[in-house]
Amino acid sequence: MTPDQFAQLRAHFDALCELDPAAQDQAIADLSLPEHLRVQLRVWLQGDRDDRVQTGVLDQLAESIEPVADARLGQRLGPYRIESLLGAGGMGRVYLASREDGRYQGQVAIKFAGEGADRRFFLREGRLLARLQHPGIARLLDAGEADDGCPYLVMEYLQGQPLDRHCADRQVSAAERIALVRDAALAVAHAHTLLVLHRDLKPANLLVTDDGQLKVLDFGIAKPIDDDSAREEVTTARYFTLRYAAPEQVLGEPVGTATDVYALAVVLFELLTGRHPYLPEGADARSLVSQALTRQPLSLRRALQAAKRPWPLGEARLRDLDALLEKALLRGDGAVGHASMAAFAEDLQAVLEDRPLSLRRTPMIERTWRWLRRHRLAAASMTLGVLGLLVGSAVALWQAQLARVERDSALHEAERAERIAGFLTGMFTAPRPIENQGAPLAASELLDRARERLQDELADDPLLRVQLTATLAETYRALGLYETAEQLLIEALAVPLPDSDAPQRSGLLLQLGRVLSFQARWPEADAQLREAAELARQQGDLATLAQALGLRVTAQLNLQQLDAAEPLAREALSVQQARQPPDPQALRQAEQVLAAVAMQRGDLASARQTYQQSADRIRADLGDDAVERQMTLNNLAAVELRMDLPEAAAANYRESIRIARVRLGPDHRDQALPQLGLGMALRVVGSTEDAIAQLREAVQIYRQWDGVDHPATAYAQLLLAETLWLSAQAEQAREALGTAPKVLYERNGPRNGQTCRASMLQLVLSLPTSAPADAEAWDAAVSCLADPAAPAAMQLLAAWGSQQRQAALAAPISPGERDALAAQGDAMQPRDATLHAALQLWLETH
Amino acid sequence: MSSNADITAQLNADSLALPGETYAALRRLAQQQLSQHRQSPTLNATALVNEAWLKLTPEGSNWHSRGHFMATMARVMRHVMIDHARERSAQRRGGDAQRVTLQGVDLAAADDGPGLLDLLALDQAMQRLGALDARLERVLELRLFAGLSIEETAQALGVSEPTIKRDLRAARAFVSAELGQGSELPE
Repeated sequence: MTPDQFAQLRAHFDALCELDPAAQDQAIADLSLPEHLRVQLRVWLQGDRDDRVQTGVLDQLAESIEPVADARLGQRLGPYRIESLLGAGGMGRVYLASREDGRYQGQVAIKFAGEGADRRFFLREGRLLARLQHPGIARLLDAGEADDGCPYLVMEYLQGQPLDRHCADRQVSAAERIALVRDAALAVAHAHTLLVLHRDLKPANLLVTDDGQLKVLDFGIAKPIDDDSAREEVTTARYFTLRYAAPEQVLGEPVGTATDVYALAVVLFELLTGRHPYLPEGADARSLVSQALTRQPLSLRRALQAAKRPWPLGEARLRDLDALLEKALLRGDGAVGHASMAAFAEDLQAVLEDRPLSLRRTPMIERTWRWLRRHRLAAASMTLGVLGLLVGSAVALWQAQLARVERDSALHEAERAERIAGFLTGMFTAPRPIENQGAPLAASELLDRARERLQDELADDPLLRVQLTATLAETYRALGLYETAEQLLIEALAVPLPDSDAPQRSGLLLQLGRVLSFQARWPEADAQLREAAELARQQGDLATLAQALGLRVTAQLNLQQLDAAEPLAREALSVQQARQPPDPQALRQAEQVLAAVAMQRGDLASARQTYQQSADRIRADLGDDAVERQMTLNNLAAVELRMDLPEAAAANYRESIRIARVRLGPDHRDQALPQLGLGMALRVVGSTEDAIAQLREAVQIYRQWDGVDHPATAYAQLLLAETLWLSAQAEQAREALGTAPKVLYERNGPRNGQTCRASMLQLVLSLPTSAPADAEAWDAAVSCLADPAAPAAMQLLAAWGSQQRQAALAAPISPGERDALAAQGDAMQPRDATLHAALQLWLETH
Repeated sequence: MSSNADITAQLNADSLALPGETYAALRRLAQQQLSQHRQSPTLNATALVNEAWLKLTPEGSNWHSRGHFMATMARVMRHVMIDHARERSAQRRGGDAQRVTLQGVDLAAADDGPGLLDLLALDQAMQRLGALDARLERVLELRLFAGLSIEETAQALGVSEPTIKRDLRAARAFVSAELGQGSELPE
């Protein structure tokens, strides 16, 4: 670039830097600039977004002058003692440590998150490494958090050299160089099958250990294709090495498996020829993108000739390797590189063994199928694993599908299984970049491709096509892409099937009804479910019938058609009762649905009766200590609490707590809910101290299982604090409430009953200091709690809180207000003796 | 300090090729300042340059402006730091035959100590920027190596503040893109 060109670009930069990236791209496309300047401008604008320079540089400079004294040296960390600093980078510091308890000989590397590093990033590296178990990938041994809260990863300590230096120092032969890159490709291919991309492959990250093993290092910027952290992409994008980065990565476009293949191809090209396939010697790496997008890569043959390097492996292999590298490196003009790392590794092996390349013989998909035929077992497990990563429920459907296939004729079985496996594998190996911004998008792109192929390739087998479409639709549904799921199901319903396959139809209608329900399109959902139920009834498919009826209950409840819901719930129950062989668990669930409908209708007595029957039945079928009985007792007690039967509720809660202790061990999370309930029941009958003890234990359990930032913990804290406050223990109440109002606000939003109750309590507890200042917060909490739909106890809290505030503000409380509060308190008497007593005390003293 | 007037003249000509004697004086001072600051955990470039200003300019000095001095000092600071980084880099390279590498570490940084290569890369990136637009390099230098504010930078270079703001953004983005080639700076 000349200064004149720079000045020209500078004008564009100034004009474009305030725009958002999409608008920038659009504007750049419209500029009349030579391509290399266009690319230059994009890189420049990307630099503006990254801004590596603004902050931290001064500190960096300071560190270069004198490293800060390192407190970690000599520290003990679990069984390890930290011995020395091995290195530091933007992402963290790595220390050499040895194990002190003698159980494990030798040394380990411990990596700490850097102060500037994003911890989520760091923890993600740990999770990724834990997934990747391969001899070519450095092993994760342990992970934890140091005393100061800094997370760390304990990794296999490897001694060796980077690949390029290893080859240069030992004058490694061409064949051995290819073999080392093949080893790297095999390790990365393993990561790809687990949907993890490396994204920063370069010689420095390819270590040859002293015993000659190749290890792929630094998954620090690797990213699972199914990761749901779309926003992190912005921060991740900046860490890669330009020299080995494919154009799509530099330009911030979606990267995929082909991006990793590109990097390894550059590495191999450099190892064999000593130069980069696109960059002339000494050229600026920034011109790389424009070179790669506008030119053919240098051929291996010409690069070897130019470097006067001999080629000891013969003409055929030179031609093959040239073709393989060209395929991997070629970009521009719609070329997308080589998307299968496994095939790349296999072709490197073919070069080494002097076999013809698969690449030269067959197109991509066929080659995958061939590979599948050779490794049928491995392929089957891989496809299931891959699908499992997308969505668990899809696997369940998938297995049902395989079971169905088994029932088909023996002749077709093998062929079908292979087509299914081939189809799924194709989803992940078709030559297109597959990563996108985040989980739903990335996964949906895979699915979109699968969808296209469904129509093309399975036209001759309508049943299989319908089944696979249903599986895909289920996957879309689980990803929350309801409209696509809906469209697929409608397509599947339109495929003409022979009569014998009609059971398929009721299943599809059921699925469609479910998808519509997820979108809260209740009338349409109900219509589909009604048809599904009719068909299932005709066919005697009681399982589908019962499911359809159960979903119809939900739809009717949402349509406020309580009268319609009840007969449906009854019918669902009777269908379950008629099923042969019976499904006792489904039967009990149907019973509980019926009870829930009754509760919704305000028919508490009927709900109580049904829950009681259900609990009794479970006891008869499964014994006193059944876990299922525990949950049913919780429901029963909750109804009883609403029916002002606190003693009965307390007894059932106690039984539920007992079961949880017996079956699940002490302090299991499932024990906390009945303890909360028991606490409330005890509070209502006035046994305040016992109530507080139960609530304290519940808070303890939630905190242990869910942590302090969880809404369940916060709600338990709220109930405890409220009860403490009512029994005039304001100090303890304040302590118990802790961060609960904040957590509830963040998790449940501001207009939530629990949130309002917590913030009101907080305001009351901070009286009188906050009384004048928090007028707005008061008004918000009061108006939220005065909602007629709020439980009476909350309304009372709001009224009482307002009065307390008035008192704190030294404003007189009118006799009318006082009487209204007293009347409200009296009305509460049967419900909450503790609250009532507290109120009485307050009224007496004011 | 007889050649102070020359320095300002040079500055106005947008070149920082200082007469040897003056450069040596500034450099000695910078090194002295740096060694004093080694004890503190972070280096405050602004404080350092301000101290130098106070020491080096007795009352009635003929420095045209504080801004010009800052510009000179920034360049000197840069040289001192880069030289220091190079020295250390060279020390580490000599005599360690067996290189130890490991996962998760920027290998260059592992060999050369934290930050050193980043600093060299930063310097090179700034030089490339300077070859294309000298003022942009100068603006960034004042910001990074002398810690000058927008206002001070504008005074030192005799241009308006909005211009400096735009320059700074363009320069930072350019260098940032350059640094994207391999080395990583912390966020």
